[in-house]
Amino acid sequence: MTLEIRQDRHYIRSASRSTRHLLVRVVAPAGDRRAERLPITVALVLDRSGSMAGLKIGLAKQAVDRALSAIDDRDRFAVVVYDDQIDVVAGLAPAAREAKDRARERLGAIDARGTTNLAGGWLAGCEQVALGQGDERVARALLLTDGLANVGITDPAELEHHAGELRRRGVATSTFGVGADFDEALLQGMASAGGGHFYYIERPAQIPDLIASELGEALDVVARAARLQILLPPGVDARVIGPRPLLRSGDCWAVELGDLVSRQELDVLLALNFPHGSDGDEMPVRVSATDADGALAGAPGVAGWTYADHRTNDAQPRDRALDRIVASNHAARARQEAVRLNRGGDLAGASRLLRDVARKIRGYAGDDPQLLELADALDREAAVEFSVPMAEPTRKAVHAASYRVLASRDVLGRARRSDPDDRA
Amino acid sequence: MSDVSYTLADLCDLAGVTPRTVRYYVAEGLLRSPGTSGPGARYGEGHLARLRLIRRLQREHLPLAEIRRRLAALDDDEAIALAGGPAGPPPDSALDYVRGVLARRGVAASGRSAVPPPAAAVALPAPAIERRLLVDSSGPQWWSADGSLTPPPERSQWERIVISPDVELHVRRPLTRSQNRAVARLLDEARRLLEEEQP
Repeated sequence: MTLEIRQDRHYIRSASRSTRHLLVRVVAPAGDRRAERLPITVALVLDRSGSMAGLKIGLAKQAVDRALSAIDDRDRFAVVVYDDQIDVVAGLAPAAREAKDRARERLGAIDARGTTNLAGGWLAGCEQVALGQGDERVARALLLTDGLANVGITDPAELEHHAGELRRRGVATSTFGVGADFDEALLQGMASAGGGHFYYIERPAQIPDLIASELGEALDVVARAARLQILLPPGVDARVIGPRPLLRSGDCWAVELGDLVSRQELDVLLALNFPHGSDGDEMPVRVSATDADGALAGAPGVAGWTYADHRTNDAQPRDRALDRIVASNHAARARQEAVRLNRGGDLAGASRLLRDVARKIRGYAGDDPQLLELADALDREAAVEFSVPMAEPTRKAVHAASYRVLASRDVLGRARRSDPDDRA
Repeated sequence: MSDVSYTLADLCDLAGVTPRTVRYYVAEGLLRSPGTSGPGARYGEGHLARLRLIRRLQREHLPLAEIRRRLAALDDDEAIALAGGPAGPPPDSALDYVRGVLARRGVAASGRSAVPPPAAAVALPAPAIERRLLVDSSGPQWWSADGSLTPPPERSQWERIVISPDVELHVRRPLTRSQNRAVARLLDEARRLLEEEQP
């Protein structure tokens, strides 16, 4: 395991508050392929509402079939389908051959119909996973939908809240949105609060591969319930740039990272806000990583800032590589918000937001070509793509691309790895 | 609690709100006045924590009067602890939690199942911030965290969405996808317009 800390400059202002960024890069250890992997408990929750008819439901069934082939009797599985009713097609059972065959047979008879009780289906899947929870298991619900939560619990804030509460209790949620009609903010919110991952499935043909990829990661977990612990001096406030949950107890902060897979590389970007202070005083920050399996145990990382006057602050060199990461994360957040505004008809607001971020980036870019190019790109998007109502697939694609930046996922939505060939 | 203090600009940046919103909340009694006005005004960690809690409770569709009542019961340390999220292990298992939610919402899995029917509503310890949602077909009702509301006899559900202290929207569920999108746009626009109207 490695824990790399990069801090944004070394001085902070004595006479006013300062904001500085801290990048923590966690690289999980390699899984030992000779050792027993962690068994998993997984619920596959499929939307069977009317809009899933035809190709989508067929491919969803294929995805389940493929998932069942990937697990064995060390693992437990359940299959839930939902429209405005929830059906447990296969109750939680060890993934022995007979149980898998029975599940396939029952699933084969399922057709699309009805409206979408997304919450009911998802909670039924979580209930199944919770039945099989054990101390040494990866526990996850995988939710596939092409629509909205329009029956049952429909409030996104409530669904995110429940996802977070279940994550605290050891059941993670990953979400898959198919097509153009699902609520990407809802699914991303549930996955982020739920300690899982969000996938945008643009074409139904991608369904089996992406579900297999997520399940493959669940089978490759080396560090469950990973967390960054950050000790800040009194008076310093922190925000996470990205969708990860941030908790606080006094001066000790924690960022939830979810389950990490073999050699996974994860960036956590924090914005730290320092109070004013006295020249020469130091403000140390300590960062350590923990997890349920002890895989991330290691020496903490330390960063530190020193109070100085304005002239010293203004003259200090910048870490351009870190600046680029900060800028791309802020751009990703802005694009997601701009998508929401564009959908709501506030085209001027969407454009204004992107231009504001472009202006801020230019404020510290100097002559760095990559930063300037990013600022130019945001201005172009403000003037062109976001100034007219976007097609829904385009909104989804922009949102998903931004999520992958913020969540350290690769272009296919998979975990980024320090060794790209290290995949189960 | 530390002696940290923020200017209005810093406070707004950290909390993700506008200065106008902060002044409105002070006027409405959701935030303590900073004591002085103008560029010298300073806000503390308690103010920041309360702003974060207000936003969280608004996302849960609580009216401002209810938010004010809850925040008034917290001292600064309690507000800071709540705003940072829950600390320590949860009081119950995932299974108990899910069954509690399913029972409160009257949702049961049907069809073939190896799972016994959900247990009776579990008396969960009251969360620090309790949730209230409207589930009714004949008129407004409330349920509380102990799951005491009886599900309505008919299938329709009315959702009450508070937009501001004097404006709310009632929506009968389920809606079609296009109707849901229209409602979402309506809420965004209504909140934006009403926020502009705030002093």
